[in-house]
Amino acid sequence: MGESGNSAASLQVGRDRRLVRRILRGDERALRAFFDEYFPRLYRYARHRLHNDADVDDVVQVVLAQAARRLETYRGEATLLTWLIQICRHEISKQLKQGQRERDMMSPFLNDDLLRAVVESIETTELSGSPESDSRRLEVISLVQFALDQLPEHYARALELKYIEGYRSAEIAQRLEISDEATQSLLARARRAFREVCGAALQSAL
Amino acid sequence: MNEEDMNDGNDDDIARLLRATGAREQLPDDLRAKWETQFRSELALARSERRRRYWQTGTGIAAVLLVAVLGWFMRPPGTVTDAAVMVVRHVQGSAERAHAQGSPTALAPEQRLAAGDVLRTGAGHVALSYDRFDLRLNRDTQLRLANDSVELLAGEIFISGNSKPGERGLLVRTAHGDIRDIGTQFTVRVSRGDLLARVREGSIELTTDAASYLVDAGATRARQITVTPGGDVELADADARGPDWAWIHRTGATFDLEGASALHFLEWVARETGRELVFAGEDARIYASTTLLSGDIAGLDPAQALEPVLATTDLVAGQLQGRQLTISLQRPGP
Repeated sequence: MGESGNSAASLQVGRDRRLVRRILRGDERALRAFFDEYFPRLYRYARHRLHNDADVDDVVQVVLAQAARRLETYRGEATLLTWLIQICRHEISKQLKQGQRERDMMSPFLNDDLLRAVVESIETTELSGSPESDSRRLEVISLVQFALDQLPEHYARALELKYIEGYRSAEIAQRLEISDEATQSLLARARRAFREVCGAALQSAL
Repeated sequence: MNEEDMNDGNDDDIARLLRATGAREQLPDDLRAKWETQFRSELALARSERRRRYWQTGTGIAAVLLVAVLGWFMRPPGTVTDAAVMVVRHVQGSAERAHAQGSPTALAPEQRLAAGDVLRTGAGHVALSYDRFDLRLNRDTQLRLANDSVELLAGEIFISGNSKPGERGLLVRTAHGDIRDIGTQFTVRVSRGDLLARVREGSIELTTDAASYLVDAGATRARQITVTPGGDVELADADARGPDWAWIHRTGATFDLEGASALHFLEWVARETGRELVFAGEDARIYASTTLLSGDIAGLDPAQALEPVLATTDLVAGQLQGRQLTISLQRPGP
């Protein structure tokens, strides 16, 4: 990530530190923001790695209990999402080991070769139905969705509305309750941030 | 500015990828409600625990201040006022405490000790806190405690502390001379009339009737100083790890893994094995500081615990040879 990425990350860390301080003070709005922003991300992260609803529930409950107990030790060494994901990875690792399952869930989020291969054939694999191609497709979906989860939520939502749900800019503006011009600006920033997160892998893959 | 102007040239790539990927999965409402309740309850528990800790610390400080003030005004002339806090941490095997008055009693963890007590280990090993120092007794050791020093009557002790410049180090008295640490890890052994002091971190100062010697740990090796019964003094290199230091792990002193960060665990391993902790990259340090551990390493010495604990993380340790403990972040392939 470039310089802009670094400054965005440090802005995010500053924002996360403030959020944590407010949660520790018992600020209800901060708590709700924390639930809205991080629960779905933790869910998706665990869901893509465990494939079993009961395991997902168990793991995320342990992660949240740990996070609640250790929240006062969060000093902003990394973003809050990274901090939570690290705890989650550790718990998933334990869960997989307990079940004697060797599937490694700690693969890099954006693997150049994997992404290139899957995106090149993404439309054809959708219909091929072979277990291998299905598995690779699920993998890339996991990668892209995690990339979306690393963006500020309003960026990710704007991209989804535009490119997945097919809304026009004016319609997105209406749904997000912002002006059309602000929506276009938001989409432009969201695209740049998404490319930044996906990095060179995405460019070369397409 | 219109929408096309703001498309950064071409958004086909993003459009194709996101359409193929589909919308992100939504968190089911029942799970969200359940997790929210659980998180609130854990947070409330943590908050009340924090309040309890603050309250205990506050009242503890107030009580200590009160006792200190009363003690100051009620002290008899010539009394030492800065009593060291001495507490037994771990006992392995048999070890006893001989009181200034009364018959000896077996040592037990969390037991408070006092100036004038003599500790005898026999076949056992003991770890104790002496103010900010970690003090361990090898087998067949006798140690007398005082408020400003310890006196090694026989056997061997290990001391690890973090004295900073200007702070008074711990003074170890022996029949051959006195040893004071200067921010260090060292052992002192009194055996068959010889005094042997070995330092692997920082410095110690040995003062005999005849002279004073400053012994600095080397960058890669420990240094040792020997005083013979005839008063001859010898300085030599020594191993900073290995069999001469292995006994310090037999006291049962261990690390409480549950809920601790990987970074704290690694700092403990490095310190216990006389090594410097080095991270191969900032990503490894961040990972270590944000990864919480769980489990139990009772019965394992620090070097033995390293591999099984790191196996539950993405961290890997380099070969445990030499002065450094190098930690890197492993990124397994898909």
